[in-house]
Amino acid sequence: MSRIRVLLNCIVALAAFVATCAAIRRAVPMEVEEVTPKLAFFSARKDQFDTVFIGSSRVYHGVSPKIFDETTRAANRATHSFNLAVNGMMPPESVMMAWRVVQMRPKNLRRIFFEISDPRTVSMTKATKRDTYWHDLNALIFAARKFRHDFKSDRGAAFAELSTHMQLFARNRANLGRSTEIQEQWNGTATTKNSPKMLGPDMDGFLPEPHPMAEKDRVRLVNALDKMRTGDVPKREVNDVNHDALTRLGDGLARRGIAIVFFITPTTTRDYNAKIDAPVGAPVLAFDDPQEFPDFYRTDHRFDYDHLNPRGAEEFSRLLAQRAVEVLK
Amino acid sequence: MLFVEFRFFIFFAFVFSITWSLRSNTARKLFLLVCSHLFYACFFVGEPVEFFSHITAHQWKKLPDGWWFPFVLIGSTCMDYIVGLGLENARDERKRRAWLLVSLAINLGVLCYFKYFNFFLASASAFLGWIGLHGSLHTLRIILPYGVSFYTFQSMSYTIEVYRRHRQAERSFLDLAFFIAFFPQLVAGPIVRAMTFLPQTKSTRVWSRDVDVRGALVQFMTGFVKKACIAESVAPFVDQYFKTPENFTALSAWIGVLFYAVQIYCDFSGYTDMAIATARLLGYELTVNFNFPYFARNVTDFWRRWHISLSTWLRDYLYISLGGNRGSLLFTYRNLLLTMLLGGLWHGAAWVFVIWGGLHGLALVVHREWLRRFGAIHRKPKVVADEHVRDVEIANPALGLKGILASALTFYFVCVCWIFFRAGDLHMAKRICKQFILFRHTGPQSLDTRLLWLFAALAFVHWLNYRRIFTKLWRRAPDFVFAAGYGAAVAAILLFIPQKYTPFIYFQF
Repeated sequence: MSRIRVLLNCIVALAAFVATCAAIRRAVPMEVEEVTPKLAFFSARKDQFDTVFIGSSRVYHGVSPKIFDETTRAANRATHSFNLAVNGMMPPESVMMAWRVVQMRPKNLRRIFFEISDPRTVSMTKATKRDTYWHDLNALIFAARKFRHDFKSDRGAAFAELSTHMQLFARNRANLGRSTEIQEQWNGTATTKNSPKMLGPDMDGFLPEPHPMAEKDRVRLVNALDKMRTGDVPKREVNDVNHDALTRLGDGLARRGIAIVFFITPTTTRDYNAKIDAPVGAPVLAFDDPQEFPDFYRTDHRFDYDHLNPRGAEEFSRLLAQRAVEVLK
Repeated sequence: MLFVEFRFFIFFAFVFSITWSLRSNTARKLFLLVCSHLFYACFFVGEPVEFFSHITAHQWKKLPDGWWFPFVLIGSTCMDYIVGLGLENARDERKRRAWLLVSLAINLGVLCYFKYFNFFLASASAFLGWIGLHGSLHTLRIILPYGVSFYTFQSMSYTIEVYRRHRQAERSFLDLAFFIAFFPQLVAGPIVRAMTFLPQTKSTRVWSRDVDVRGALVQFMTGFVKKACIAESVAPFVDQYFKTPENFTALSAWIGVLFYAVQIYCDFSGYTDMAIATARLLGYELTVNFNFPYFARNVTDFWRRWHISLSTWLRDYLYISLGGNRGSLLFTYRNLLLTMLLGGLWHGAAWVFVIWGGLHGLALVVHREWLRRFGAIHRKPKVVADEHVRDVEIANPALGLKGILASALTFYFVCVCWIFFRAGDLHMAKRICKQFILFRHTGPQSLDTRLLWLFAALAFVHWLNYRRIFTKLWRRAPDFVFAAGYGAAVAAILLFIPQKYTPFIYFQF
């Protein structure tokens, strides 16, 4: 067999491999707990909503669309919003979520409230099904940019991180080990289908967490607040990769006539100063200053050191809506 | 580094491309030898960067356990090279015998130390306790090096062949070292004979002449499916049952045992298929190791089809050395039993393995006696050690009703024996046997009975393969159809691979 024929056969095999993987992915899209049911619920009612919130658990348990809509209605800027936030969702996953929403072509969608937080680091990425799920081409591009950025400071870590992202991308594209999930989807026994509770009591994607704060969380909150008050928090430099991804997202949405509003929840953790990652000129609503928003940092407004309880969420949603009305005028 | 892991594919792509780009045969063998030792070292050194940082800092205590095992392999190779030359240069029989004894003593000494030292010590202690002499015999913390049973047998086959004058001693150290360490067969066989492999090292392998690409690719894929998709998928059910058999019903006992038979076959023959295919892609042919053993019509036939490289090794170097069938009937039966008992012990240092071997030995004796009394009408042709895979791609004959009954009975017996192989101890084996054979001592829990349908489906596919239905298809397909089918099949197979692999069962032996 000539070398050209060998090469041609290899190309044919590779093409068949890629085509089959794509066909499988298209026929049986990957489903993951928490993310898929929310997206599916939203997709079925996509034209009802004009506003969505995307972010992590701080948004999931902290922003009530019902109160947000009531507040905007009272200000004659009526909205119909949905909370698409999911536990642990940060860039680039949250960026992917925003693109997924846009790809659904919701007719009435006018604005996306997007939580700014640090990008997900490789140490948080444990090769779970969820991690595999969001490793699409955009995530790989994000990882490649991050590699180029981190390479100057720590080559070893940069390579390790890129390798993890590439493996997850390969796992995603090649449908590695998805047989059980596909079988569950076909049988209708997939856990992703059976979790309406996570959509919250008002079925608007907001899940209040009413349980009281534990003592260890109280101590942690007090310590965090002390650090913030004394200014003992390392000032961060702008994260170029995150900044770039958010800018692209903002530009892309603007081209489709959708306004993006970046916001920062009353956090005590790593996202302090995250607003510096926001694209230049984009509206940023920051609530992470305990001096300016002391109520959100009270223990009776939180169920743990970083998350608001229903009472805190109610106040935060109301304030967010008021600020949004001002910004979007 | 397992054959099913992503890093193996990276390693093999590197080895494959460099090997075929080298023009000189010596350079290729040297390169493959270095790669084989690196492959072997990967099992012991842990993180390479960390390992070398400990070496450079002389922090010997921080090195992982067994980091020096690759040196045992190198030592064994050097010893066999010297013994081979010694055997050839010795003028009288006594000296030749002495050289052979040196080889056997060292090879078996290494094997006994790593594998059987604690077993013999514990057994001796138990025996002394039983006769009332209580002593304190302390066992040592010994880790078994991967593949020691396989490469020891392989190197012993070389010295015995030279001793028996079946071949000349190997003059090239490189060739001998390459034969012993060649990475596809190093860790879990097949146990390749010197007379099968060494002649292949003498000439430069030619891609177009020596490599059946299509055959090798299909064989690798088959092995991958067996291990990654089947063995790994059934393992949880098997583990669930064998962990607490007393909790399960008799039907679950059947499911557990049947699926263990599936698991061990797919795991081991899958590994062998991948090993043979890997070697074939590098231009070398290894020995056939499996030929549809569960379609065997009797236990003698089973041993001609199961782990062929070991059974023929035991036949040629142990059974024949013990006298074979060159004596009375009782003498022959004694040899058969001894061979199988030692074969059982080869698998592991535990009494359950000895019993497993003993049961097979007894069955061989019974079958031989049956043939003697009622005639040997259906004697099957022997599968010899150096037959290549291509030769067994010929369609197997249909079984017929009598054949199906005989195969079912043989399979049932083999499954009973597997109980001893899998059960951790004799007590548990006894309990499972009562469930499996007598339907007694059962519990309330049940494994999913739909698994029996899966078993039937696997058996059907296996039968189609036995009849070479698939072989006919992929052999006849045009190149581009084969390439497209292969690519699509790989994509489908990847759906079934597990998140994490368990090591091959035979690695522990």
